[in-house]
Amino acid sequence: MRSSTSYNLWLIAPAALMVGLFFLYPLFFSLYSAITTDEGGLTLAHLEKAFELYSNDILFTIIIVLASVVLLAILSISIAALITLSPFRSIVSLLGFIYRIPLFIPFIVTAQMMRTFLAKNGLMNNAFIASGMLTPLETVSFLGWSGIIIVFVWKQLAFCTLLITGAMAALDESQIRAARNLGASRLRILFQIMLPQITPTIGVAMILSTVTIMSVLSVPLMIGTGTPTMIATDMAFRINSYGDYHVANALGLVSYLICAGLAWFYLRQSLKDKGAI
Amino acid sequence: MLTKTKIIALASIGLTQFSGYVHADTRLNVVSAGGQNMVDYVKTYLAPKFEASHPGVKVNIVGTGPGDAGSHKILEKLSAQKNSGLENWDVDVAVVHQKIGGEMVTDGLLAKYRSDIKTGTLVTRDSAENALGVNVNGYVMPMFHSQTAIAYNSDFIKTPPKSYDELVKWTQDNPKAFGYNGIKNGMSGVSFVTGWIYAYGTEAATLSSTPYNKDIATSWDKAFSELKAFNKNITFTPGNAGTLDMLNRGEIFMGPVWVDMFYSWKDQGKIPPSMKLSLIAPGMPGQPMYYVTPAKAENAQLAREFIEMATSPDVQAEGIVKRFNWYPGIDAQHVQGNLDKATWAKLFAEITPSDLSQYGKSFPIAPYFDDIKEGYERKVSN
Amino acid sequence: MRNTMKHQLSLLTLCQSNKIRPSFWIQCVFILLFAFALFGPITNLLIWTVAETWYFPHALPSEWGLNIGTKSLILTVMSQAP
Repeated sequence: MRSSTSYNLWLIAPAALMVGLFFLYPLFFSLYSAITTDEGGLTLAHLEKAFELYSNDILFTIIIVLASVVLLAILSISIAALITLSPFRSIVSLLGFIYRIPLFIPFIVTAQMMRTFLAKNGLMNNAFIASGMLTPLETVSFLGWSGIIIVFVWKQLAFCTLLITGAMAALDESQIRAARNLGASRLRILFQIMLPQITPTIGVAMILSTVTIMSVLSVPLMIGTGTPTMIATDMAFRINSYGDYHVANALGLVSYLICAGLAWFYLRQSLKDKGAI
Repeated sequence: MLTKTKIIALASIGLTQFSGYVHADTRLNVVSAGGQNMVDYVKTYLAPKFEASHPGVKVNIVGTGPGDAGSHKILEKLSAQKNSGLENWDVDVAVVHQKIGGEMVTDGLLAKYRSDIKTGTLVTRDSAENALGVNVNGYVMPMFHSQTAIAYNSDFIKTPPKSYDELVKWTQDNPKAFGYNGIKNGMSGVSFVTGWIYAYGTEAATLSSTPYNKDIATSWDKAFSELKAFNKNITFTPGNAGTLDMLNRGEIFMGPVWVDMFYSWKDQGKIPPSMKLSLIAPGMPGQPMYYVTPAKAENAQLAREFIEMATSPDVQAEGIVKRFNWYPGIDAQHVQGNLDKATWAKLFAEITPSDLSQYGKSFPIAPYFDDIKEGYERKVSN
Repeated sequence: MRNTMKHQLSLLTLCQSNKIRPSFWIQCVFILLFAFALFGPITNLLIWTVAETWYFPHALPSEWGLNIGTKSLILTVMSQAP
């Protein structure tokens, strides 16, 4: 028995070592660096500086994340519901095929193609002009905050829809059948039977998307227009242009806190749903 | 036990295999900071040329990424090797930015090699001796000079602004038609802002030389508040390439760009032929990239030969000027003889050599540079 | 896996039992819009891969080709020169 325990410990040791070395150590090191001076004393100066210079950007990041996540939730649930519930199988199978495409396109490629697509005289506006829906004077550029949201939603939609469709397909059909027999409309089935059961999956999809959105640097760099910008850009800027790891780490701490806040909110909700609180 | 022996045996076989491969020929390790185009330049142009003239030598090129951050990685690598007391450092030739080149000299990481190579006498420019206040005489050879300038669409703008004052007036008459990328999305915007401080804060000569006086930065409040007002009349672009992109699509009609990127895009048809350049008074900054070789480079002699080849007039003419549209690193008159008239005329048509010497400024020394960027973050964009 | 398929099939029969189909066109429009949003940017990227010269005010490239030298767009974007 005893030897088997130590044997098991040896089995997990490589994985634990990997996690410790490449995840926990950098994490705690960056947290440590955010609140200490070069000499090792505790200080809040870096955090103060981060807030003094970048409070607008922090707010901007939160708004971008929230807007993207809300749009993502609405769109991915609609598509997943359409795929699961629609009676028109042929168009739905087409939809089921095409929505996955962005999964295979990296963020930087997405950003690059959106940059010339969404611009004032980009392909999108050109297409609108050619089809007579807009005149050249009415066109607007989507580069900036709206473009950033569009790119994030475009890219993450496939991932969220994939998760949510999977969860919907795994639901117990007898409930849906019963509701149907009792005359419930599809919308009602969606909102009253299906959604309540897949909230955990939606939560996971949204939190993973949040973390991705916070971490992507190429999109705000290529689609955003300087000020305000997202935290990731500011962190890169602090390092690239001042070699200032402290304030960059302080900004990192702020992003951890934003993600942690969302995760906490989600955990609390899901525990509440289970009746634990 | 048996397993252990097997593993050791396997490992040693692996090692001999590996070391055998490494010693098959001499590897010259070239590490380059800067954009992908610079890595491409060494990889596709310099390396084959050098390998052809040095049989048995293989040039191994590694890029460390754009901007000072890329150079900083090289600095960190070298100082780590120095601190650990290694006899042979695994970097033979490095291409670094001006600011970091100076720091490397201060830290004693570089070899003083310019007098060892024949092309060493072809450089007389100030930036080969003084890197933002640090004396680098002998330690560096400029690879090329890069310059920022204002690009404009000559179909729509017949008389481009000649100075920052005229530009401000122009943006008031044509709101949103001028665009730049702030200071976080690329150096062309930083350069424009630095030029602004040269114009309305403190002159370039003071800021580009030591000693540092921290009181100077406090006198820039007015310049920054004017810049904030100026920013209301302009369009922000996403990055160096973003500015060119928006010029291309007619979304802005004027904006600061890197001269070499501008010409490359123009050559490739990514911006219309009607785009032209203007270097405005009192000047905008540019910078050289340096070839350096570490103090304890493994292949010190080969490294010198490599740099000598890379700074020879014909390579500078064909590679730097003709292919990549950079301004030559060595003095222009040595390159002129190796170039056809058309190429020469193209490089100096819109920005004449006299404009360049008059308005081509250096970047400020590091502490002033940080003051400018932080001042911008604090007072303009916040 | 098999269960899921069976389940989807039964969901299908379930749904097909519905006689009223007013939402067919709404769904079509939704999918069309979605496809436009999805393929628009991709088309843009694909056009760039075969464009040699493309500048304002041309709605489409004025010169087509496959010259590899001009195809390093993403690299150009990433290089914050120099």
